[in-house]
Amino acid sequence: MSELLAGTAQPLETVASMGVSPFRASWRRFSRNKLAVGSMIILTLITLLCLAGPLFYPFDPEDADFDNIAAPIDLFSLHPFGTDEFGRDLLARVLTGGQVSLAVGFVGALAAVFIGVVYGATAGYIGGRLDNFLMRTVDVLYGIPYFFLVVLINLLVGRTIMGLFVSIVVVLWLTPAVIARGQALSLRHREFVDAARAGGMTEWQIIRQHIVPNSLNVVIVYSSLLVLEVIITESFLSFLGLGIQPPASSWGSLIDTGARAIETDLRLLLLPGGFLAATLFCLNFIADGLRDAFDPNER
Amino acid sequence: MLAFSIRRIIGAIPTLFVLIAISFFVMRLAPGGPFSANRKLTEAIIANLNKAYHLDEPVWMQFGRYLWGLLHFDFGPSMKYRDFSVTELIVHGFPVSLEVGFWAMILATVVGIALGIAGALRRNGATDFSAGAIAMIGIAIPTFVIGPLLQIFFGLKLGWLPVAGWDGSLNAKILPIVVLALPNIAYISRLTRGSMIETLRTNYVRTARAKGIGARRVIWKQALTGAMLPVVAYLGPATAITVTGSVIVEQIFGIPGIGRYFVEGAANRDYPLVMGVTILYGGIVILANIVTDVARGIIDPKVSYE
Amino acid sequence: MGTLFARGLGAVLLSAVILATATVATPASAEMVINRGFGSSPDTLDPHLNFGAREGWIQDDMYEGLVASDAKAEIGPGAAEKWEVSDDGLTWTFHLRDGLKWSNGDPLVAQDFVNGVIRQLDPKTASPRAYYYYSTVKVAGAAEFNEAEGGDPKSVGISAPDEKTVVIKLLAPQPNMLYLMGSYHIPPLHTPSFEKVGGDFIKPENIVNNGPYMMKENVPQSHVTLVKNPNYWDAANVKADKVVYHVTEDDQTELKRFKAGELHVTNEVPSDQLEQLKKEYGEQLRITTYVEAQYLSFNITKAPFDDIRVRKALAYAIDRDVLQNKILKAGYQPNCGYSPPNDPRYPQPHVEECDMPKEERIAKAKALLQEAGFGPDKPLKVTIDSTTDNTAKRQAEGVALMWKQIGVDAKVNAQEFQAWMDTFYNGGWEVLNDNLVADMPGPESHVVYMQPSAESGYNWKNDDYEAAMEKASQQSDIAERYKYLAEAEKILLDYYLTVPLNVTTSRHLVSPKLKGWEDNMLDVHPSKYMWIEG
Repeated sequence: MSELLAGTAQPLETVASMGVSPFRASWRRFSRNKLAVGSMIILTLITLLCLAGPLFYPFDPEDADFDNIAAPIDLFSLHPFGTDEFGRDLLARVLTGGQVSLAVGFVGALAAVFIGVVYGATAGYIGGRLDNFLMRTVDVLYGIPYFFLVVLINLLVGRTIMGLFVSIVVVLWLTPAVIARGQALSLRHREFVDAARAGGMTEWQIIRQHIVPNSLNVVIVYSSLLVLEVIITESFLSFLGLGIQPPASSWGSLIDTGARAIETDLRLLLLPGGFLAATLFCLNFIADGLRDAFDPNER
Repeated sequence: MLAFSIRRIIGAIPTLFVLIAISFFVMRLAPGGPFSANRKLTEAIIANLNKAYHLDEPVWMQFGRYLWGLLHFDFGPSMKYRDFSVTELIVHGFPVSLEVGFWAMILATVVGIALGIAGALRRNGATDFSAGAIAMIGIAIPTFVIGPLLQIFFGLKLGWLPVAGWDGSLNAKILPIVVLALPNIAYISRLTRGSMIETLRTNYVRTARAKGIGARRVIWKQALTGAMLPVVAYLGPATAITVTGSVIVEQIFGIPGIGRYFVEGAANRDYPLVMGVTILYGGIVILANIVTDVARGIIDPKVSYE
Repeated sequence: MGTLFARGLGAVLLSAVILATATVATPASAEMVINRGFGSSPDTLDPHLNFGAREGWIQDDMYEGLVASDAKAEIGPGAAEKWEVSDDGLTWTFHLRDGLKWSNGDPLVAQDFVNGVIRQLDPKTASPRAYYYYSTVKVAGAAEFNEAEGGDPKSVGISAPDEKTVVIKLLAPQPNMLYLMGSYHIPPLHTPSFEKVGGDFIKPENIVNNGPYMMKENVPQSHVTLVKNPNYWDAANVKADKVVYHVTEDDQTELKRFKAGELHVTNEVPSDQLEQLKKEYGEQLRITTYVEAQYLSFNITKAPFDDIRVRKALAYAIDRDVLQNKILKAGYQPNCGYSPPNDPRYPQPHVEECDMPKEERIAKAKALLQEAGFGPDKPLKVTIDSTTDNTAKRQAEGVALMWKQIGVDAKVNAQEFQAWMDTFYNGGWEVLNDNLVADMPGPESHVVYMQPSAESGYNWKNDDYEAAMEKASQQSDIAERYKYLAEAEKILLDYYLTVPLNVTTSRHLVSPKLKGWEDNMLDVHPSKYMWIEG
């Protein structure tokens, strides 16, 4: 196997020219992937619906209509998708809940991936004592049980959106860091990196221009899953009573409420659950599309 | 490699110590104490309780006392579950969490890798799409939804499996293992697919194919081995997390594991319980990371052990 | 790698085969077993440490007090067959039955009961329930003995003049004495095993107890198994051989386990599914008024809640009927007084808004808010602190939504129990989603609880209230006692320190196979009276 590996050196020109036209090429490849583009369109629509929908919708998600409690789905009535157990319009709640879930999901995952990749690539590429120190720190953070951290953050920061955000990012950057380090470790001995070093690039430039971009395909697959994971984690926190506080809602908290009514009023689960599942499916296909498009070997 | 492993294990001791120290002091930053469950507690009673658990001493002294206990393998008494010591709680609960988590990871690895390979070989085809969809179900439906659904279907409608509980029978273990495996299947299959596609395209596999080595052998030996790196990197930590118990799966299926203690211990400021499960968890995670690094070295000799 | 992988694959295939061939093999047995749902894992089963009502069920099965509850929670003879009380109501004398034995055959004597009380009060035991013998049952000398180490046990007003007599001396009369002595509150101590293993006497391998059942297994987060005690004096009338209390952390799972026949009775029934379950299960669903009242409390040390107009406005805005019957639907009764109205002899006072029509209430609420300086330009902001308990959280949410309708910006902050408690004691709260469970039927537990001397967290001190309570505590005649208690409760309600919301229910699903279960207000269900048929 090792003699085969020896043949993997890539032409230096290709790597060095990365970041100029390849991006456009990747984008072109991505736009040829119908599934990915379709997912992108649906996800954009869902996002727009969640952001703009409540502006045009007559009901406030936090206003109760005590005369219409637990109204069923009736598309031609005042509340087309019915109301919840307090008489709040379900559609309005699902849309504003989506704002919270999507915001936490995207911002949380981006923050986690950014921190993780830079951290991991640095550790893996530079290696030695710094790697040792950085990864021992990760080990320590990994060693702290997640829910213990969440309960502590809840107690110390309080149950605000900020607290929720911190609870989610605090450990999620660790896995991207480990993955990025793994990629960096296997990349650092590749010939093109040696060549770049010989060519006089500084360590930081190499990390930025070679290690990070070459770790990217694995990271993109992982980070698109991370958006899902953040959204899912948020729902677990809701299930354990550690999530967003009422009367605000998120898809997670709505699904938790719906899961309790699984045998009595399925509608409460299906509406937020449907939005969540659709979003997660879209994210998955987009991730696959991105991965295929940004694969350096196809250039 | 053996020397490397030993060096890593010795190197892990300070890590564990730092972890113990951080957890010990951070836990005490949280407001409130362990004994406010009963609203009628008078100051005299709280004083009695604090004295009994040495909480009236300075924190440094408590830390020293705790470390001294640890050296004697004594994790101290639980303040929430007063009939048990922390050691007893872990001895009762950990084997259960370990069993469920272990089989869940085995199931997830096999199914996840199979789905991932299927997807990679038939890229963007119907196989890929359905493999992706199957994997996505594991992640798109939260465990606290899929768990009750399976309970209703297999426990109530069909009556094949018990709804919940832990009586040692195999039947009681099936649903929790499957539910715990589902999200991991999704991750593993996505990672496998991603890195497999990449490896299939690398020059060495192309070269191998060009040299006329049979397609099947290429896939199984070269491509799969190369594709395993990110999967192994994921498996290490994921296994550590899974075998130490999932609070949600354990709650839904009434499994007497240790998952609950992570939440319960912190929520009730049961300091010794939190410390006990943290040390256990931290130790396993650190061990899993060492095993992961060794495994990566076996798979890819280019990873050096410096 | 290849071989490693292959080996892993082999292991999985093997386990898949095992899983697939697993069959439902439960050996038939003639043993009568009662399977009871229990809720969260018990905190402690140590009879002198526990103050939890659910743990009390197991304790009722393992330990018998001087007096004991029957299936209907009525108090009757337990280890004592008769008793008398002195004319001033201060001295109680209990006479034990003949031939009582511990589960290991040792004779059970009066001193064992005295030792139980002494152990609970001993500062070294650090029992969170030690207050019981000086705050609820005012035993002479108990407080002093508990507050400092090294006290003389003889200074406590409980003694055993001979092997069959227990004498208790009180500081004030207590007409409800038997309720307080009953149930799991005064268990004896098997002194030899305590001296040998200390607190570990509660472990299944050490335990020696005197009730109808003995502990066989105690597996944390899983179950507690009790088996019949052959040395119990009434063992001939104990029908079930075994009682298993299953830990059911999740109420939805517990419900499914009941439906699947894995449990004979549940600890809880999800409050949001009662209507549906009533249709499906009819008589099996038992909803019984419980001795718990839920209410909101105001932090009167924090502006603007020091202003009675604000407190009143918020109280007026609540529609108790909609909250209980349309939103919660948990079978709770709307309550207009502070204490639960469960004793017809008690003339309970009511808050005034209870009798007002809706429009008047809302109009007055808005007017009061405006008077206090709040309006559309300057909305009142309120946070309700609640526990994460599902029903409690929903109630707080319902209240917040009602307040929103009079222009108040209301939020709910749901925290787990311990943090909620801390918030309360730290004084950082504004409005607390509050509750109290009584030790006995009647208003007394509740009204006593609001005495500042018993509870400092509310920072409320009112001389008239204290005076009325002091008078009440001196009465051994129940009608006279109730008169003063009602006087005190009226003062409390008029102050709007609290807003009464409801009286809760206990909810169980009881299988038709389980016989001898009786619904009762105290939610006490000794297994001794139950059996399985069919």
